[in-house]
Amino acid sequence: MKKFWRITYILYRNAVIRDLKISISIITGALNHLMDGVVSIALIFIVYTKTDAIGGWNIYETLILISSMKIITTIFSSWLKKGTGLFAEHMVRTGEYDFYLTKPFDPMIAVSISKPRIYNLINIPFYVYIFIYAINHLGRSIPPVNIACFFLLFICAFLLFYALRLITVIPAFWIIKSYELVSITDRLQNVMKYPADIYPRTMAILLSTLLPIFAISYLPVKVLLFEPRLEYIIYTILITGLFLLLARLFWKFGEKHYGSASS
Amino acid sequence: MKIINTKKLTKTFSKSEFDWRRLRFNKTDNIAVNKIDLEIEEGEFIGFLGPNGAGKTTFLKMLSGIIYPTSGEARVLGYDPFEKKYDFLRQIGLVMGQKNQLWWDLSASDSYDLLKEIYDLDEQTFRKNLSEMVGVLGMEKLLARRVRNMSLGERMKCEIVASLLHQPKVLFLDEPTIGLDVVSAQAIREFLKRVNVEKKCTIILTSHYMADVEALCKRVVIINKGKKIFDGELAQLMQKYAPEKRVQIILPTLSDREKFAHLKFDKKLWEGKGIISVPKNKLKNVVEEIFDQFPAENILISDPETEEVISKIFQES
Repeated sequence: MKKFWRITYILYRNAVIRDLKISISIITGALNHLMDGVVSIALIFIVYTKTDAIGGWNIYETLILISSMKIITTIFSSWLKKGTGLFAEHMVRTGEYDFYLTKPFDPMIAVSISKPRIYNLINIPFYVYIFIYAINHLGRSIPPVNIACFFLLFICAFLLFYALRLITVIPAFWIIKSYELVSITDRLQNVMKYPADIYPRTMAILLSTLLPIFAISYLPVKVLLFEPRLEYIIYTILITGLFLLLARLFWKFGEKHYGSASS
Repeated sequence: MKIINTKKLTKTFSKSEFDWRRLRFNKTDNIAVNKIDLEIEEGEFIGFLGPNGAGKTTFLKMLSGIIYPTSGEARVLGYDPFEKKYDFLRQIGLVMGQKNQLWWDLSASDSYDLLKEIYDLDEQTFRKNLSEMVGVLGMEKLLARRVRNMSLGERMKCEIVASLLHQPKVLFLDEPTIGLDVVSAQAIREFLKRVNVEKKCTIILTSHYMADVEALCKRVVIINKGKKIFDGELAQLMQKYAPEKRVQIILPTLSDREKFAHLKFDKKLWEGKGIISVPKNKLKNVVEEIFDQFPAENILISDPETEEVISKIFQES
């Protein structure tokens, strides 16, 4: 684990050195992410000028939901998104993955953390501010047990999102041009913005099982703001473990079919 | 001690395409490596030769655990390469002449820092190994330069250093001198020779260039269409496939050319030179006759070019 964090640190440090040499990429990247954050939050305020609640959730509860989800996806996009995306789009096709396979460090993890983008993190303070602002305006105190459960499920949510992303990039082992699949996780973020209560029953079942999006954004906030029910916690831990296991097995299976690229 | 051992190692690449007329998948198989048996001793410097698509790189990638074989088995340093055990990966290095493992936008030393962590090298070992190689290759000024601003030769030096930082027991080199000028290629060859001798590192080299193999490898394996067609010492190869000597005579005048035309040997005329290929057991008689008729300074006796012999083997196979 120590090795993992040391490597992560060097990758981030190298990413900063690289990006500082092309500073315009930092500015444009940061602006893009900041714009995305501001627009998302502004839209919530606009929607709530016309209604008091969405699916029974008031504006502050929804702001907590969306800022929590954005914190997860922003950390993910800074840390793991580019590496996994490039794996599907570039590394398999060009044979760059060869080098990851010959190093004494897990190639799946190495690929995932290989291309960090520091400027994606620019939104984090903004989302944390929105999160704290909404908690303060909620008008009720949150018990420590809810906070502890929230952090546990928050970590699970991050890992589950990573597992879903992995599952979308692994087909690249067989089908080189399958990289469009990776945008599925981006599309899912639109679903994660709203409380689960707004979705019809069949869709809710789908989003709790095959595409367990509710475990990523809805359940962590649900246990934070309402009663931290044991079944939510067990379900989130189990579904995260299951999807991580599936992604891992699928990756290992894909690796056996990796044909590299001709020299 | 045998460090690499393969038994009937085979790799078949399959491709499926959907036939819309017959509404079914058509599968085509391409055998890249066909039942290759090979044993390599510790400390050997072995060259793999073959034309494009012969299967050299595929074989090397199976030995380094990059791709899984379709059938057969391989043991490298006592490990199954496809299991990718930490101890196995810690003891191998890989250089690919046409691919980069260094960060394109960063200096080589930034990439080396990352490799230090990946290979769990302590600071002292890392600094010692790095400064030793940097000194030998004369690349002190390169360390701080961005990889993308380096020439191909400079980049290849940095790539080789990257693959040797952890002092691997086996080094796989896939066309390390491709595209390099003569001076850079020579510097890299000398360095690799040194690594092989001083560090006792077993080196497996694939190359299109005979100069690499002649300069570095005592043993060569020739692969064509996935099959091993020769495995032995380079000298043996020449003995087997070129059991002749080549006698060249410079023919500056018309009378020289007329004299050459009357010789009773198998001969040809090329760019003002007469060329005679003579079986070694008949060389004495031929040479005596030629030295009688032509000035000694115009006569050259040599072995055929290795490159020529190899291409003859490929054509025959």
